[in-house]
Amino acid sequence: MTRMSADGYVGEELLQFAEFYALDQELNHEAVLLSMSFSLAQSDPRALVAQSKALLEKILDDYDSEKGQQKAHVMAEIEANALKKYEEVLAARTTLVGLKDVGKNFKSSRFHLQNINLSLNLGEITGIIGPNANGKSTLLKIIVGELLKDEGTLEYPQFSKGNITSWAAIKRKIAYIPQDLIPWKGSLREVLLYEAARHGIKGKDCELQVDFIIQRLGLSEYIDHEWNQLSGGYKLRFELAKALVWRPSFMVLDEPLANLDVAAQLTILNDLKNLAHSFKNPICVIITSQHIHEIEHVADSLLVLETGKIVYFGKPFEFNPNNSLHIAELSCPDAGIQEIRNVLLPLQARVEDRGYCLLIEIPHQHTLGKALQILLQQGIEVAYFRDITHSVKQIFYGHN
Amino acid sequence: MTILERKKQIKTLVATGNVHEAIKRAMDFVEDFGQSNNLTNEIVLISSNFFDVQRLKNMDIADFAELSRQQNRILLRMLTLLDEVETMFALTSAE
Repeated sequence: MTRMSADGYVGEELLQFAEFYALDQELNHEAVLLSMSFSLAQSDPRALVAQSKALLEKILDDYDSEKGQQKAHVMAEIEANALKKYEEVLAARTTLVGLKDVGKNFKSSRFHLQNINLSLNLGEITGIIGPNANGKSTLLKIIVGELLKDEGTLEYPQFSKGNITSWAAIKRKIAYIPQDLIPWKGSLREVLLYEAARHGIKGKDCELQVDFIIQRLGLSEYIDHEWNQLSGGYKLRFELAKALVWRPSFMVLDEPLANLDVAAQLTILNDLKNLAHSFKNPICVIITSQHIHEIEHVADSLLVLETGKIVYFGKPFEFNPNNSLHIAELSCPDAGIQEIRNVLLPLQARVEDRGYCLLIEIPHQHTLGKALQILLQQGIEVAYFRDITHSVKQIFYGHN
Repeated sequence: MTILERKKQIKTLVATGNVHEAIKRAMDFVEDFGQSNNLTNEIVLISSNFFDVQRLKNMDIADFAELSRQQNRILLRMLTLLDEVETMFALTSAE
Protein backbone atom coordinates (compact mmCIF):
# COMPACT_ATOMS: atom_id res chain seq x y z
CA MET A 1 0.00 0.00 0.00
CA THR A 2 1.81 3.07 -1.21
CA ARG A 3 -0.91 5.59 -2.02
CA MET A 4 -1.45 8.12 0.72
CA SER A 5 -4.23 10.36 -0.60
CA ALA A 6 -6.32 11.86 2.18
CA ASP A 7 -9.72 10.42 1.33
CA GLY A 8 -11.90 7.41 2.04
CA TYR A 9 -10.02 5.31 -0.49
CA VAL A 10 -7.15 5.01 1.97
CA GLY A 11 -9.63 3.77 4.54
CA GLU A 12 -10.88 0.99 2.24
CA GLU A 13 -7.38 -0.18 1.40
CA LEU A 14 -6.38 -0.11 5.07
CA LEU A 15 -9.38 -2.28 5.95
CA GLN A 16 -8.59 -4.80 3.22
CA PHE A 17 -4.94 -4.93 4.30
CA ALA A 18 -5.87 -5.47 7.93
CA GLU A 19 -8.38 -8.20 7.02
CA PHE A 20 -5.57 -10.13 5.37
CA TYR A 21 -2.55 -9.40 7.53
CA ALA A 22 -3.75 -8.28 10.98
CA LEU A 23 -3.49 -11.45 13.03
CA ASP A 24 -3.90 -9.58 16.29
CA GLN A 25 -7.59 -8.75 16.56
CA GLU A 26 -6.90 -5.50 18.40
CA LEU A 27 -4.89 -4.26 15.43
CA ASN A 28 -7.69 -5.38 13.12
CA HIS A 29 -10.24 -3.41 15.13
CA GLU A 30 -7.98 -0.37 15.20
CA ALA A 31 -7.92 -0.54 11.38
CA VAL A 32 -11.73 -0.73 11.24
CA LEU A 33 -12.14 2.38 13.39
CA LEU A 34 -9.42 4.26 11.52
CA SER A 35 -11.17 3.42 8.23
CA MET A 36 -14.40 4.75 9.72
CA SER A 37 -12.62 8.00 10.61
CA PHE A 38 -11.53 8.34 6.98
CA SER A 39 -15.07 7.64 5.76
CA LEU A 40 -16.66 10.17 8.11
CA ALA A 41 -13.80 12.71 7.84
CA GLN A 42 -13.74 12.87 11.61
CA SER A 43 -10.21 14.25 11.94
CA ASP A 44 -7.46 16.06 10.08
CA PRO A 45 -6.67 13.81 7.06
CA ARG A 46 -2.92 14.21 7.56
CA ALA A 47 -3.21 12.96 11.14
CA LEU A 48 -5.27 9.98 9.95
CA VAL A 49 -2.68 9.12 7.30
CA ALA A 50 0.11 9.26 9.91
CA GLN A 51 -1.90 6.96 12.19
CA SER A 52 -2.47 4.58 9.27
CA LYS A 53 1.26 4.37 8.54
CA ALA A 54 2.02 3.57 12.18
CA LEU A 55 -0.69 0.94 12.27
CA LEU A 56 0.55 -0.71 9.07
CA GLU A 57 4.01 -1.08 10.59
CA LYS A 58 2.59 -2.68 13.73
CA ILE A 59 0.52 -5.09 11.64
CA LEU A 60 3.50 -6.12 9.51
CA ASP A 61 5.79 -6.56 12.55
CA ASP A 62 3.21 -8.78 14.20
CA TYR A 63 2.60 -10.79 11.03
CA ASP A 64 6.32 -11.49 10.50
CA SER A 65 6.98 -12.54 14.10
CA GLU A 66 6.91 -16.15 15.35
CA LYS A 67 4.03 -15.36 17.68
CA GLY A 68 2.19 -13.93 14.70
CA GLN A 69 2.45 -17.23 12.83
CA GLN A 70 1.13 -19.13 15.86
CA LYS A 71 -1.80 -16.76 16.04
CA ALA A 72 -2.52 -17.40 12.35
CA HIS A 73 -2.73 -21.12 13.02
CA VAL A 74 -5.10 -20.72 15.96
CA MET A 75 -7.33 -18.31 14.01
CA ALA A 76 -7.54 -20.70 11.07
CA GLU A 77 -8.65 -23.49 13.39
CA ILE A 78 -11.32 -21.33 15.05
CA GLU A 79 -12.68 -20.26 11.68
CA ALA A 80 -12.77 -23.81 10.33
CA ASN A 81 -14.71 -25.07 13.38
CA ALA A 82 -17.17 -22.20 13.17
CA LEU A 83 -17.82 -22.87 9.50
CA LYS A 84 -18.33 -26.61 10.09
CA LYS A 85 -20.94 -26.05 12.77
CA TYR A 86 -22.67 -23.40 10.68
CA GLU A 87 -23.01 -25.74 7.69
CA GLU A 88 -24.34 -28.60 9.83
CA VAL A 89 -27.17 -26.48 11.18
CA LEU A 90 -28.07 -25.04 7.77
CA ALA A 91 -28.29 -28.52 6.25
CA ALA A 92 -30.98 -29.47 8.77
CA ARG A 93 -33.53 -26.78 7.72
CA THR A 94 -37.00 -28.11 7.03
CA THR A 95 -40.35 -27.32 5.45
CA LEU A 96 -42.71 -25.35 7.64
CA VAL A 97 -45.88 -25.18 5.52
CA GLY A 98 -47.01 -27.54 2.77
CA LEU A 99 -50.00 -26.91 0.50
CA LYS A 100 -51.19 -29.57 -1.94
CA ASP A 101 -53.94 -28.82 -4.47
CA VAL A 102 -55.46 -26.29 -2.10
CA GLY A 103 -58.53 -24.46 -3.39
CA LYS A 104 -61.47 -22.32 -2.33
CA ASN A 105 -64.71 -21.77 -4.22
CA PHE A 106 -66.83 -18.63 -3.84
CA LYS A 107 -70.14 -19.54 -5.49
CA SER A 108 -71.70 -16.09 -5.26
CA SER A 109 -68.86 -14.35 -7.11
CA ARG A 110 -67.80 -17.48 -9.09
CA PHE A 111 -64.22 -16.87 -7.99
CA HIS A 112 -62.22 -20.07 -7.61
CA LEU A 113 -58.80 -20.25 -5.99
CA GLN A 114 -57.43 -23.52 -7.32
CA ASN A 115 -54.51 -25.95 -7.56
CA ILE A 116 -52.30 -24.17 -5.08
CA ASN A 117 -49.19 -26.30 -4.54
CA LEU A 118 -46.53 -24.78 -2.31
CA SER A 119 -43.76 -25.74 0.03
CA LEU A 120 -42.49 -22.97 2.31
CA ASN A 121 -39.27 -23.31 4.30
CA LEU A 122 -37.79 -21.81 7.41
CA GLY A 123 -35.45 -18.91 6.75
CA GLU A 124 -37.09 -17.97 3.43
CA ILE A 125 -39.21 -15.04 2.36
CA THR A 126 -41.98 -15.71 -0.16
CA GLY A 127 -43.56 -12.73 -1.85
CA ILE A 128 -47.13 -13.13 -3.09
CA ILE A 129 -47.96 -10.74 -5.90
CA GLY A 130 -50.97 -10.30 -8.10
CA PRO A 131 -53.60 -7.85 -9.26
CA ASN A 132 -56.36 -6.99 -6.82
CA ALA A 133 -59.12 -9.56 -6.31
CA ASN A 134 -57.08 -12.44 -7.69
CA GLY A 135 -56.78 -14.56 -4.57
CA LYS A 136 -53.84 -13.19 -2.55
CA SER A 137 -55.80 -12.40 0.61
CA THR A 138 -57.88 -15.56 0.25
CA LEU A 139 -54.74 -17.69 0.11
CA LEU A 140 -53.24 -15.84 3.05
CA LYS A 141 -56.37 -16.31 5.16
CA ILE A 142 -56.44 -20.04 4.39
CA ILE A 143 -52.80 -20.37 5.44
CA VAL A 144 -53.32 -18.58 8.77
CA GLY A 145 -56.58 -20.38 9.53
CA GLU A 146 -58.95 -17.43 9.10
CA LEU A 147 -60.74 -19.17 6.20
CA LEU A 148 -61.45 -22.85 5.55
CA LYS A 149 -60.25 -24.38 2.29
CA ASP A 150 -62.62 -26.40 0.10
CA GLU A 151 -59.98 -28.53 -1.62
CA GLY A 152 -56.57 -30.06 -1.00
CA THR A 153 -54.41 -30.42 2.08
CA LEU A 154 -52.60 -27.92 4.26
CA GLU A 155 -49.90 -29.19 6.59
CA TYR A 156 -47.64 -27.75 9.24
CA PRO A 157 -45.22 -30.65 9.83
CA GLN A 158 -43.36 -28.91 12.62
CA PHE A 159 -46.46 -27.72 14.46
CA SER A 160 -48.46 -30.96 14.38
CA LYS A 161 -48.04 -33.89 16.72
CA GLY A 162 -48.54 -37.13 14.81
CA ASN A 163 -51.77 -36.93 12.80
CA ILE A 164 -53.35 -34.37 15.09
CA THR A 165 -53.50 -30.80 13.84
CA SER A 166 -54.87 -28.38 16.37
CA TRP A 167 -55.71 -25.08 14.72
CA ALA A 168 -55.72 -23.37 18.09
CA ALA A 169 -52.14 -24.53 18.70
CA ILE A 170 -51.02 -23.66 15.16
CA LYS A 171 -52.50 -20.17 15.20
CA ARG A 172 -50.63 -19.39 18.42
CA LYS A 173 -47.37 -20.00 16.54
CA ILE A 174 -48.15 -17.74 13.59
CA ALA A 175 -47.34 -14.05 13.71
CA TYR A 176 -49.92 -12.42 11.45
CA ILE A 177 -49.78 -8.72 10.61
CA PRO A 178 -52.92 -7.70 8.71
CA GLN A 179 -53.10 -4.76 6.36
CA ASP A 180 -55.37 -2.81 8.69
CA LEU A 181 -53.50 -2.68 11.97
CA ILE A 182 -55.50 -3.04 15.16
CA PRO A 183 -54.81 -0.32 17.76
CA TRP A 184 -53.50 -1.48 21.09
CA LYS A 185 -53.70 0.08 24.52
CA GLY A 186 -50.78 0.90 26.77
CA SER A 187 -47.20 1.86 25.98
CA LEU A 188 -44.98 -0.07 23.58
CA ARG A 189 -42.89 -1.54 26.37
CA GLU A 190 -45.97 -2.73 28.28
CA VAL A 191 -47.41 -4.34 25.16
CA LEU A 192 -44.14 -6.08 24.31
CA LEU A 193 -43.75 -7.45 27.84
CA TYR A 194 -47.29 -8.78 27.64
CA GLU A 195 -46.76 -10.40 24.22
CA ALA A 196 -43.55 -12.10 25.31
CA ALA A 197 -45.13 -13.34 28.54
CA ARG A 198 -48.23 -14.53 26.68
CA HIS A 199 -45.97 -16.75 24.59
CA GLY A 200 -44.27 -18.29 27.57
CA ILE A 201 -41.19 -16.10 27.98
CA LYS A 202 -40.76 -15.37 31.66
CA GLY A 203 -38.80 -13.26 34.12
CA LYS A 204 -35.41 -11.90 33.11
CA ASP A 205 -35.61 -13.63 29.70
CA CYS A 206 -38.79 -11.68 29.01
CA GLU A 207 -37.15 -8.34 29.81
CA LEU A 208 -34.07 -9.22 27.79
CA GLN A 209 -36.11 -10.16 24.71
CA VAL A 210 -38.10 -6.96 24.95
CA ASP A 211 -34.96 -4.82 25.36
CA PHE A 212 -33.33 -6.64 22.45
CA ILE A 213 -36.19 -6.11 20.01
CA ILE A 214 -36.62 -2.47 21.03
CA GLN A 215 -32.96 -1.78 20.28
CA ARG A 216 -32.92 -3.96 17.16
CA LEU A 217 -35.83 -2.17 15.51
CA GLY A 218 -34.71 1.30 16.60
CA LEU A 219 -37.65 1.95 18.89
CA SER A 220 -35.91 3.06 22.08
CA GLU A 221 -37.15 6.64 21.75
CA TYR A 222 -40.74 5.42 21.54
CA ILE A 223 -41.00 2.86 24.32
CA ASP A 224 -43.35 5.04 26.33
CA HIS A 225 -45.46 6.07 23.34
CA GLU A 226 -49.00 4.88 22.80
CA TRP A 227 -50.79 3.97 19.59
CA ASN A 228 -52.25 7.35 18.73
CA GLN A 229 -48.88 9.07 19.15
CA LEU A 230 -47.22 7.19 16.28
CA SER A 231 -46.86 7.69 12.54
CA GLY A 232 -47.90 4.94 10.10
CA GLY A 233 -44.34 3.73 9.65
CA TYR A 234 -43.74 3.41 13.37
CA LYS A 235 -47.09 1.70 13.92
CA LEU A 236 -45.94 -1.02 11.54
CA ARG A 237 -42.55 -1.20 13.23
CA PHE A 238 -44.32 -1.65 16.55
CA GLU A 239 -46.39 -4.47 15.05
CA LEU A 240 -43.18 -6.12 13.86
CA ALA A 241 -41.72 -5.77 17.35
CA LYS A 242 -44.84 -7.36 18.84
CA ALA A 243 -44.54 -10.23 16.40
CA LEU A 244 -40.80 -10.75 16.70
CA VAL A 245 -40.40 -10.44 20.48
CA TRP A 246 -41.59 -14.02 21.00
CA ARG A 247 -39.52 -15.47 18.16
CA PRO A 248 -42.13 -16.89 15.79
CA SER A 249 -41.03 -19.38 13.14
CA PHE A 250 -43.80 -18.28 10.80
CA MET A 251 -44.76 -14.72 9.95
CA VAL A 252 -47.39 -13.49 7.55
CA LEU A 253 -47.67 -9.85 6.47
CA ASP A 254 -50.54 -8.58 4.34
CA GLU A 255 -49.61 -5.50 2.29
CA PRO A 256 -47.24 -4.04 4.90
CA LEU A 257 -45.78 -1.44 2.53
CA ALA A 258 -49.08 0.12 1.53
CA ASN A 259 -48.96 3.19 3.78
CA LEU A 260 -45.21 3.70 4.09
CA ASP A 261 -42.88 6.23 2.53
CA VAL A 262 -39.89 4.97 0.53
CA ALA A 263 -37.37 5.23 3.40
CA ALA A 264 -39.67 3.36 5.79
CA GLN A 265 -40.27 0.65 3.15
CA LEU A 266 -36.54 0.08 2.72
CA THR A 267 -35.95 -0.09 6.47
CA ILE A 268 -38.80 -2.55 7.08
CA LEU A 269 -37.81 -4.82 4.19
CA ASN A 270 -34.14 -4.78 5.13
CA ASP A 271 -34.93 -5.66 8.75
CA LEU A 272 -37.35 -8.38 7.66
CA LYS A 273 -34.75 -9.93 5.36
CA ASN A 274 -32.01 -10.03 8.00
CA LEU A 275 -34.32 -11.36 10.72
CA ALA A 276 -35.94 -14.01 8.49
CA HIS A 277 -32.51 -15.31 7.50
CA SER A 278 -31.44 -15.67 11.14
CA PHE A 279 -29.21 -18.63 11.81
CA LYS A 280 -30.59 -19.43 15.27
CA ASN A 281 -34.25 -18.37 14.85
CA PRO A 282 -35.02 -18.54 11.12
CA ILE A 283 -38.49 -17.41 10.12
CA CYS A 284 -40.66 -18.52 7.23
CA VAL A 285 -42.10 -15.22 5.97
CA ILE A 286 -44.96 -14.66 3.56
CA ILE A 287 -45.53 -11.12 2.39
CA THR A 288 -48.16 -9.87 -0.02
CA SER A 289 -47.58 -6.62 -1.81
CA GLN A 290 -48.19 -4.55 -4.91
CA HIS A 291 -44.66 -3.13 -4.64
CA ILE A 292 -43.19 -5.60 -7.13
CA HIS A 293 -39.66 -4.24 -7.45
CA GLU A 294 -39.18 -3.89 -3.70
CA ILE A 295 -40.41 -7.43 -3.04
CA GLU A 296 -38.30 -8.86 -5.87
CA HIS A 297 -35.20 -7.55 -4.15
CA VAL A 298 -35.95 -9.06 -0.78
CA ALA A 299 -37.84 -12.30 -1.48
CA ASP A 300 -36.24 -15.72 -1.88
CA SER A 301 -39.17 -16.85 -3.99
CA LEU A 302 -42.16 -15.22 -5.68
CA LEU A 303 -45.68 -16.46 -6.17
CA VAL A 304 -47.83 -14.66 -8.71
CA LEU A 305 -51.58 -15.24 -8.69
CA GLU A 306 -53.98 -14.40 -11.49
CA THR A 307 -57.70 -15.26 -11.45
CA GLY A 308 -57.09 -17.65 -8.56
CA LYS A 309 -54.29 -19.64 -10.20
CA ILE A 310 -50.53 -19.65 -9.84
CA VAL A 311 -48.97 -18.18 -13.00
CA TYR A 312 -45.43 -18.17 -11.58
CA PHE A 313 -43.68 -19.66 -8.57
CA GLY A 314 -39.93 -19.37 -8.53
CA LYS A 315 -36.96 -17.20 -7.72
CA PRO A 316 -37.04 -13.46 -8.39
CA PHE A 317 -35.45 -12.31 -11.66
CA GLU A 318 -35.77 -15.77 -13.24
CA PHE A 319 -39.14 -15.11 -14.88
CA ASN A 320 -38.62 -15.21 -18.64
CA PRO A 321 -41.53 -16.44 -20.77
CA ASN A 322 -40.26 -14.48 -23.78
CA ASN A 323 -36.82 -15.95 -24.36
CA SER A 324 -36.53 -14.04 -27.59
CA LEU A 325 -37.13 -10.53 -26.20
CA HIS A 326 -35.59 -7.94 -23.93
CA ILE A 327 -38.24 -5.78 -22.25
CA ALA A 328 -37.91 -2.44 -20.45
CA GLU A 329 -39.94 0.38 -19.00
CA LEU A 330 -38.96 3.79 -20.29
CA SER A 331 -39.92 7.39 -19.68
CA CYS A 332 -38.68 10.27 -21.84
CA PRO A 333 -40.63 13.38 -20.84
CA ASP A 334 -39.60 15.54 -23.81
CA ALA A 335 -39.91 12.98 -26.61
CA GLY A 336 -43.06 11.63 -28.21
CA ILE A 337 -43.65 7.94 -28.80
CA GLN A 338 -43.23 8.26 -32.57
CA GLU A 339 -39.82 9.94 -32.16
CA ILE A 340 -38.67 7.11 -29.94
CA ARG A 341 -39.99 4.49 -32.39
CA ASN A 342 -38.06 6.17 -35.20
CA VAL A 343 -34.86 6.39 -33.17
CA LEU A 344 -35.03 2.72 -32.11
CA LEU A 345 -36.05 1.42 -35.55
CA PRO A 346 -32.57 -0.05 -36.25
CA LEU A 347 -33.07 -2.34 -33.24
CA GLN A 348 -36.49 -3.51 -34.51
CA ALA A 349 -37.95 -2.23 -31.24
CA ARG A 350 -41.63 -2.35 -30.46
CA VAL A 351 -42.76 0.62 -28.36
CA GLU A 352 -46.11 0.82 -26.57
CA ASP A 353 -47.61 3.60 -24.48
CA ARG A 354 -48.72 2.21 -21.11
CA GLY A 355 -49.89 5.44 -19.57
CA TYR A 356 -47.30 6.29 -16.95
CA CYS A 357 -44.41 4.90 -19.04
CA LEU A 358 -43.52 3.34 -22.37
CA LEU A 359 -42.86 -0.36 -22.78
CA ILE A 360 -40.11 -1.30 -25.21
CA GLU A 361 -39.41 -4.77 -26.57
CA ILE A 362 -36.22 -5.57 -28.42
CA PRO A 363 -35.24 -8.83 -30.12
CA HIS A 364 -32.67 -10.86 -28.23
CA GLN A 365 -29.85 -10.25 -30.67
CA HIS A 366 -29.80 -6.58 -29.58
CA THR A 367 -29.35 -5.28 -26.04
CA LEU A 368 -31.20 -2.77 -23.87
CA GLY A 369 -27.88 -1.11 -23.21
CA LYS A 370 -27.61 -0.39 -26.93
CA ALA A 371 -31.14 1.05 -26.93
CA LEU A 372 -30.26 3.36 -24.03
CA GLN A 373 -27.07 4.40 -25.78
CA ILE A 374 -28.93 5.30 -28.99
CA LEU A 375 -31.49 7.38 -27.10
CA LEU A 376 -28.81 9.33 -25.29
CA GLN A 377 -26.73 9.84 -28.44
CA GLN A 378 -29.82 11.33 -30.11
CA GLY A 379 -30.05 13.83 -27.25
CA ILE A 380 -33.24 12.35 -25.84
CA GLU A 381 -33.52 12.85 -22.08
CA VAL A 382 -34.24 9.59 -20.27
CA ALA A 383 -36.01 10.18 -16.94
CA TYR A 384 -36.63 6.52 -16.15
CA PHE A 385 -35.36 3.22 -17.51
CA ARG A 386 -35.84 -0.21 -15.97
CA ASP A 387 -34.99 -3.61 -17.45
CA ILE A 388 -37.91 -5.96 -16.68
CA THR A 389 -36.82 -8.83 -18.93
CA HIS A 390 -36.74 -11.19 -15.95
CA SER A 391 -39.19 -9.38 -13.67
CA VAL A 392 -42.68 -10.66 -12.91
CA LYS A 393 -43.86 -7.13 -13.63
CA GLN A 394 -44.27 -8.30 -17.24
CA ILE A 395 -47.31 -10.29 -16.14
CA PHE A 396 -49.08 -7.05 -15.36
CA TYR A 397 -48.39 -5.92 -18.93
CA GLY A 398 -49.90 -9.11 -20.34
CA HIS A 399 -46.62 -10.98 -20.95
CA ASN A 400 -46.95 -14.50 -19.55
CA MET B 1 -23.68 -15.88 4.37
CA THR B 2 -21.24 -17.69 6.64
CA ILE B 3 -20.33 -16.57 10.13
CA LEU B 4 -17.03 -15.17 8.87
CA GLU B 5 -18.66 -13.29 6.01
CA ARG B 6 -21.17 -11.78 8.40
CA LYS B 7 -18.44 -10.60 10.75
CA LYS B 8 -16.53 -9.10 7.84
CA GLN B 9 -19.67 -7.38 6.60
CA ILE B 10 -20.19 -5.74 9.99
CA LYS B 11 -16.62 -4.48 10.04
CA THR B 12 -17.03 -3.10 6.52
CA LEU B 13 -20.21 -1.31 7.56
CA VAL B 14 -18.38 0.31 10.48
CA ALA B 15 -15.41 1.18 8.29
CA THR B 16 -17.61 2.89 5.70
CA GLY B 17 -19.42 4.92 8.36
CA ASN B 18 -22.69 2.98 8.15
CA VAL B 19 -22.63 2.45 11.90
CA HIS B 20 -26.38 2.22 12.46
CA GLU B 21 -26.66 -0.75 10.10
CA ALA B 22 -23.47 -2.26 11.56
CA ILE B 23 -24.98 -2.28 15.04
CA LYS B 24 -28.17 -3.92 13.79
CA ARG B 25 -26.17 -6.65 12.05
CA ALA B 26 -23.99 -7.07 15.14
CA MET B 27 -27.12 -7.60 17.25
CA ASP B 28 -28.29 -10.27 14.80
CA PHE B 29 -24.83 -11.84 14.88
CA VAL B 30 -24.69 -12.09 18.68
CA GLU B 31 -28.27 -13.34 18.81
CA ASP B 32 -27.48 -16.04 16.24
CA PHE B 33 -24.10 -17.24 17.44
CA GLY B 34 -23.90 -16.14 21.06
CA GLN B 35 -24.04 -18.97 23.56
CA SER B 36 -25.46 -17.06 26.53
CA ASN B 37 -27.88 -14.33 27.58
CA ASN B 38 -24.94 -12.32 28.96
CA LEU B 39 -23.72 -11.77 25.42
CA THR B 40 -27.17 -10.69 24.26
CA ASN B 41 -27.35 -8.35 27.24
CA GLU B 42 -24.01 -6.86 26.34
CA ILE B 43 -24.89 -6.14 22.69
CA VAL B 44 -28.17 -4.55 23.82
CA LEU B 45 -26.18 -2.29 26.16
CA ILE B 46 -23.68 -1.47 23.41
CA SER B 47 -26.50 -0.41 21.10
CA SER B 48 -28.24 1.58 23.82
CA ASN B 49 -25.05 3.36 24.91
CA PHE B 50 -24.03 4.18 21.35
CA PHE B 51 -27.33 5.81 20.51
CA ASP B 52 -27.51 7.62 23.84
CA VAL B 53 -24.16 9.23 22.99
CA GLN B 54 -25.44 9.93 19.48
CA ARG B 55 -28.42 11.80 20.92
CA LEU B 56 -26.07 13.93 23.01
CA LYS B 57 -24.04 14.70 19.89
CA ASN B 58 -27.17 15.72 18.02
CA MET B 59 -28.22 18.01 20.90
CA ASP B 60 -24.82 19.73 20.70
CA ILE B 61 -24.55 20.24 24.45
CA ALA B 62 -21.27 18.44 25.13
CA ASP B 63 -17.76 18.23 23.68
CA PHE B 64 -18.22 16.65 20.23
CA ALA B 65 -14.71 15.21 20.07
CA GLU B 66 -15.04 13.56 23.48
CA LEU B 67 -18.41 12.07 22.52
CA SER B 68 -16.89 10.71 19.28
CA ARG B 69 -14.13 9.10 21.34
CA GLN B 70 -16.78 7.53 23.58
CA GLN B 71 -18.55 6.13 20.53
CA ASN B 72 -15.28 4.72 19.20
CA ARG B 73 -14.70 2.95 22.54
CA ILE B 74 -18.19 1.48 22.34
CA LEU B 75 -17.59 0.29 18.78
CA LEU B 76 -14.26 -1.21 19.80
CA ARG B 77 -16.05 -3.18 22.49
CA MET B 78 -18.61 -4.32 19.91
CA LEU B 79 -15.90 -5.57 17.53
CA THR B 80 -14.18 -7.43 20.36
CA LEU B 81 -17.50 -8.96 21.35
CA LEU B 82 -17.97 -10.32 17.81
CA ASP B 83 -14.61 -12.09 18.04
CA GLU B 84 -15.53 -13.56 21.43
CA VAL B 85 -18.84 -14.80 20.08
CA GLU B 86 -17.18 -16.42 17.07
CA THR B 87 -14.53 -18.11 19.22
CA MET B 88 -17.11 -19.48 21.68
CA PHE B 89 -19.27 -20.71 18.82
CA ALA B 90 -16.30 -22.48 17.25
CA LEU B 91 -15.28 -24.01 20.59
CA THR B 92 -18.72 -25.55 21.11
CA SER B 93 -18.42 -27.04 17.64
CA ALA B 94 -15.05 -28.57 18.42
CA GLU B 95 -16.36 -30.25 21.61
